[in-house]
Amino acid sequence: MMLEIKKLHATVDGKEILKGLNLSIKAGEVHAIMGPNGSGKSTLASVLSGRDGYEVTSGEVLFEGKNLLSLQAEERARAGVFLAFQYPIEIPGVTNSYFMKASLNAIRQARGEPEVDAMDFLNLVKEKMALLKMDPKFLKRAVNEGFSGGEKKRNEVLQMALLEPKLCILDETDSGLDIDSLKIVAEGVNSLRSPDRAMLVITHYKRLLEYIVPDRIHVLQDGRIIHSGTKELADQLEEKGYDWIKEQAA
Amino acid sequence: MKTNLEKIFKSQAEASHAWQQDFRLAGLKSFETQGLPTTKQEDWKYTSVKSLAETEFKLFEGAQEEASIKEDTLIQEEHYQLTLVGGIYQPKLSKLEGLPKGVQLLPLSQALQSEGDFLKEHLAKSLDARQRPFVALNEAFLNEGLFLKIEDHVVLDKAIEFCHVALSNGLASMSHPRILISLGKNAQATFIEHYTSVAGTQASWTNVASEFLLAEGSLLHHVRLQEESEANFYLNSSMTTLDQDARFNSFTFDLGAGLNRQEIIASIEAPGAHVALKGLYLARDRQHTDFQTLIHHRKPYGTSQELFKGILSDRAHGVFNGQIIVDPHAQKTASELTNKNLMLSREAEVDTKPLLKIFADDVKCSHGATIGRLDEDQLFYFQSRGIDSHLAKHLLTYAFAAELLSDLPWESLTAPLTRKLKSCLNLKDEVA
Repeated sequence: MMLEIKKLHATVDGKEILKGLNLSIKAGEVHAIMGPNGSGKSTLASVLSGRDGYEVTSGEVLFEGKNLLSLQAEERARAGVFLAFQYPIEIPGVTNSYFMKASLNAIRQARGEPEVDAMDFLNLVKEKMALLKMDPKFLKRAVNEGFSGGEKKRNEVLQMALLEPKLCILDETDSGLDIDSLKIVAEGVNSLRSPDRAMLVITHYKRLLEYIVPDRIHVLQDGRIIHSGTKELADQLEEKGYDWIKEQAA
Repeated sequence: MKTNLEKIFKSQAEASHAWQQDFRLAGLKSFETQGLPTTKQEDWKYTSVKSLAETEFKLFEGAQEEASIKEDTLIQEEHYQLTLVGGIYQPKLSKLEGLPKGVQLLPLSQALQSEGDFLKEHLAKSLDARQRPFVALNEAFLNEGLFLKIEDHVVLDKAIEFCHVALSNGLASMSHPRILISLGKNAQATFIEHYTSVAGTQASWTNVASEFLLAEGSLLHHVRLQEESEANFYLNSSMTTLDQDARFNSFTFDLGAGLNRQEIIASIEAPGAHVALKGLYLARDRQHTDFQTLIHHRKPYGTSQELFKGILSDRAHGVFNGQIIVDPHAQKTASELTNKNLMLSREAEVDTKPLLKIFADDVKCSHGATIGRLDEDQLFYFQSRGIDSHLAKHLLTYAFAAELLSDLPWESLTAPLTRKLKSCLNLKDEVA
């Protein structure tokens, strides 16, 4: 099992958001989590990636059988967990190129691989950029600074492609994307699907799941997964909303 | 300090011209009348000179130690250089040859002999010592420093570096360098001030006073790096006066001294002049760094831009007091004043006060100050990519400061100053 979440409870500012969440994802699988606003989707992403301000009150999360929650955020990244941010952070004064190279080398070092030099890095990153139809000029710009919404999301997937994580968590990667950008981003994500990589796609809308077709869809409601199904579930949710599941679950 | 001042004053060799001796005496008298500043005075509110007052200083007596001082130049390219060690001119550590016609660059001691009339006419005419006891004291010890005079329309081909090495042998020593720069009409120059010290000796005190006189259409690029030992005291007052359409483009980089206080004044005295003041101060441990800046728009159509950034860690204390004054008839003035501070520790402190005093009605002026910590979201973004928080903090701190190093006048300065910044932040050279 790549990821096992067992009876996870988490609070933000003392308020319980996750209330006994269970979820297991095998390597090679793509799972989607859907749910209305405030159901706890982004909290789950934050808890998994180790962001400050989220307190796990009970339950456990195993990543490849090991306790994920005891690791610092950077240790999780080095172990192979990647979060594509819903709102990628701007870092004025640090170039995208430097940022990605430092990141890649930190992760390679953790894997026991040699650091890449400037030349190899450039070749590698340009190859990945072509995949996402990104202009190489983005390398010289400050991280996400002044990027459009679509450019920021592409930059997230670019980092994902570069770092080759084991578990990719995509937090509302479709938000703020026009249809062309969505297709490009989805293609980028799909190109990373592989038997030894798992993905957790968090989204509000069915639209993204037309391009990144999941193996399983889970409905998150009030901090718990109340229903799971195959990709057809997305159509039902689109058609009927969330209330019928709520009723069924109750 | 006060107790033996008169004795030290008398120990100086008599000045060669009567007016110079009178000038010194007037300075001493002015200092004694004013006394040392106290924290009850508004512009000294946050800066105490108690430890300075309690130290017994003497004038440095040039022993042979200067031979051990290796040439510490800031720029690698060919440039002119004038070096003082412990306040004493060092011909062997200076490069004054090959100056173009129309340029006089001299140690002040020589200029006091050969350029007496010019100095008599201009020295201390713009920088007023009456409200500045330490400038008065600098006058009392008028002897050495730098004199630069550039004739009309001369554009200097190389930068000039003034290097001052603070040094004490045995007792704590003090140095009172005086700088006078006069740029003729449409003349251009780059002037670099570099203050450093020899480690491991007694505390010393550097007390600089400068006047930069910029004639019509002239341009002075100015960089000041202060990296004295944390045991030292560093005071500096500089006054720049700008005639019509003159430009003053200044960057102050402050890393050193336990007590640093710099007063930077620019006065726009004819229409159309431009002042750009930039500054970066890094203070750690118990360093105290204090900047008092004033841009005075006395005539219309002047523009000024001021950006000072501070990085304070440990128990350091920063003070920024920035003023823009726009006189009633200085219409069409455009001015911006910004001070940003990054606090890296809970114990560090900063007191910032940007202030506009506008007496004209058709102007465009803005000011602002910020005090902040590193952004948690940015730190998390680094960590989420596998970069440890320690390196992330240094990188974000570097990014905060690097903006100021991005458009230096002399391109070859960017690399050495960037290296200084990185080494302060324990960053490798290859970064960003």
